[in-house]
Amino acid sequence: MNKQLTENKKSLITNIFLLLGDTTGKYLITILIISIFLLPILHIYIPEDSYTISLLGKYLCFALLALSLDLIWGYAGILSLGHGAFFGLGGYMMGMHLMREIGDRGVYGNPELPDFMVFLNWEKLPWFWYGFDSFLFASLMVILVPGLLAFIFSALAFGSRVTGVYFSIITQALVFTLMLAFFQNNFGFGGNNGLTDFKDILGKDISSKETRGALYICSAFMLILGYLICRIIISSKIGNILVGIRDRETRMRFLGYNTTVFKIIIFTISAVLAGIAGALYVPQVGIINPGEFSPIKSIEIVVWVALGGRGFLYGAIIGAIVVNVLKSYLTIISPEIWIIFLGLIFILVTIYLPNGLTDLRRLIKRYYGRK
Amino acid sequence: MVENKNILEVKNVTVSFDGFKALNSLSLEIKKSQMIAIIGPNGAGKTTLQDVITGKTKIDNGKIYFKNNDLSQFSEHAIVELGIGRKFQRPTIIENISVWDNLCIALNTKKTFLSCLLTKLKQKDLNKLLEIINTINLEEKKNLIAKNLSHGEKQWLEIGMLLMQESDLLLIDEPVAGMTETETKKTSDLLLNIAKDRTIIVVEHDMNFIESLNVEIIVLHEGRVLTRGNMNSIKRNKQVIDVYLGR
Ligand SMILES: Nc1ncnc2c1ncn2[C@@H]1O[C@H](COP(=O)(O)OP(=O)(O)OP(=O)(O)O)[C@@H](O)[C@H]1O
Ligand SMILES: [Mg+2]
Repeated sequence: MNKQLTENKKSLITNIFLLLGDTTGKYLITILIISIFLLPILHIYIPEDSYTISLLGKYLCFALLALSLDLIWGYAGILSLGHGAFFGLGGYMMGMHLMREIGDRGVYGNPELPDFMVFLNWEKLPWFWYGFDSFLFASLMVILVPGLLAFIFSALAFGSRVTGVYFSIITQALVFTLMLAFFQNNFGFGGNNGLTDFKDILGKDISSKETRGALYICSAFMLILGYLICRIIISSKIGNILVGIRDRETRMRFLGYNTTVFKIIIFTISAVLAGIAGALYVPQVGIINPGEFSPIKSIEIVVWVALGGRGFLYGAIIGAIVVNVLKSYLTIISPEIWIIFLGLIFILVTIYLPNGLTDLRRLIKRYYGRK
Repeated sequence: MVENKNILEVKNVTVSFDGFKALNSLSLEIKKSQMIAIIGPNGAGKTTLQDVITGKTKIDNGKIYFKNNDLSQFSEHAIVELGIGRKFQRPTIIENISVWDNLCIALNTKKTFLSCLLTKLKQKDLNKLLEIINTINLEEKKNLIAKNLSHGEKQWLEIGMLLMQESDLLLIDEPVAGMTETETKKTSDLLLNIAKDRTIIVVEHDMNFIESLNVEIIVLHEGRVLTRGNMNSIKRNKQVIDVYLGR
C-alpha cells in the first residue's frame, strides 16, 4: 500500500522516471535512437540511393504530426479536422527560409526576389518575408506562427464554448480557408506552385546524402522529444484533468478548473508540435504547396491516429508510420486502390479494434497467455 | 461592515426560460454551519436554484450574496474558489480514471495549468486523501476505475470530491435517488458526519431520508419559498400538504 502512495506522489522528475514503466514508449525510443546511429551511416555508404532516408524521415514527421493530434484528441477529446493547418504553416515558414537561401541562383538570377515574385513583376520583397534570410528567425516563426494562430483560434472557439462536432467543423473551415488563401498568387507564397527548388540548408546542399542523413536525425530527435513532452504532460495531473474535460467538462468546472484555459494551452502545444513536424518535412520532400492545407489531408491524420489507437501516444506514432508505409507501396501499384484500401481498413479497425493497432498487442498477449 | 451570520443570501431572484419563471422573485438566507433541506414538487425550481448559485444559469433579476460577495461578478470556476461545491443530481464523476485520481484532481490546490504540471502531492495532501477516502468508505476500491463503482458508491465519491475541495457551502441535489435502503442510511450518516464543519444545502424527495437528517426544511413551490421550518411544522402545514406531501 505504501508503494501505491509513493507512486501517487507525482512530480516532474518522477514523471520522467515514470517513463520507465511505459514499456512500449521505451521500445519506441530505443528503436528511434538505434535508427539515428545506423540509418544515416548505412545511407551514406549505400551507393545510388538518395531517396529512402528522406522517405523514412518523412514518416517520422508524419508520426510527430499524429502524436500532436493524439495529445488533444486522445486525451482532451478535442477532434481537430484541420491539423494540417499548423503542419502546413510550419512547413511554409521553413520553406520561406529555404527560398531566401537560394539567393541569386534562381532561374531569373535575382538576388533580392524569389523567382515567383519576379515572375509576378513584383518590385520588392513584401514585408512579411523580412527576416526569413535568417535560419534562427525562421525557426522562431515555425513555432510562433502556428502557435499564435492556434492560440487565437482556440481562444475564440473555446472562449465562446464551441465544442464537439461544431469545433471539428470550424477546424475544417480554418484549413480550407488557408488553402484558398495560399492558392492566390498575390497572397505572396507562390500560389499553387508553392515554394520549391530549394538549394541549401544552413549552407549545405539540401539533396546531399549527408544533409538528408542529418535531417533524418533531426526528425527522429524531435519525435523523441515530442513524445517525451506529451508523455510528461499526460502522466502529470494534467492527464487526468484532460480526461475529465473530455468526459465531463462541467464537473471539472465545478471542481474549480478553468477548463477553457486548459484546452487553449493544450491545443496550442499540439499546434506547435505540428508546426515543427511541418518544418522538418519540407526540406526532406523539397516542396511545400497549398495542397498541404487540403481538408482531406487533415482527415488522413485523424485516420492514422484512429488506426494506431488513440489515447496512447505511441499508438499515433505507429499508426502514422504503418499507414504511410502502406501508402507508399500501394500508390505505386494504383492510387485508386489506395483510397479504397484506406477506407476499408479504417472501417475494419473501427469495428474490430476500437483501440486501433494497440488492441493487436493485447490480443497477442492474451493468445500467448492462454497457451 | 456589520458581521454577517448568513453565509448565503438570495434576494428576489427571478429566472425565466422562454417566459416561464423557474424562479419567481425568490429570497432566502442560509446561516453559516447549518445543514438545510430543500423539498418541493417536480419543477419547483430546486435544481435551478443551485444552477444560479453556482453560476451555471444567469439570473434575470435579483442578487445572490455568498460571504458578502455578489456572485454575479464571478464565473463558475471563480465561484468554486470562493467556496461553493456542487453535487449534481446524477452522479458526475470522471468515469475513466481511478477513484483515487478522482479525489486527486479535486484536491484544493492551485488549479492553473503550470501548477498542475509541476507540483507534487505533499504529505498533508496524502493524509487528507486518506482521511476522505475513509470517510466515504471507498478505501478498498481506491484503484478501481470509477465507472465500475455501484450507483451509490459513485454518489459518495462525488461527495468525497466536494470534501477534497474544502468548500464552505455544499449544494447536494437528490443524493439518495436510486439508492438501496442501506445505501440511503449510509448517506445520511455521511452527510451528518461532514455537516459538522460546513454548510450544506441538500435537495431530496425522499421524506424518510430528510427526516433522518433532522434539519430545518425549506419548501419550494413554483419558484418561491412556500414555507420553512422543522419536519413537524412542515408536515402539518396545510399548503405543503396540498401542493406536495398530500399527493
Ligand atoms: N434550461 C432550461 N430550459 C427551459 N426550462 C427549464 C430549464 N431548466 C429548468 N427548466 C424548467 O424550470 C422548471 C424548474 O426546473 P428545476 O429543474 O429547477 O425543478 P426541480 O425543482 O429541480 O424539479 P425536480 O424535483 O424534478 O428535480 C421546470 O419546469 C423546468 O422544466
Ligand atoms: Mg431537480
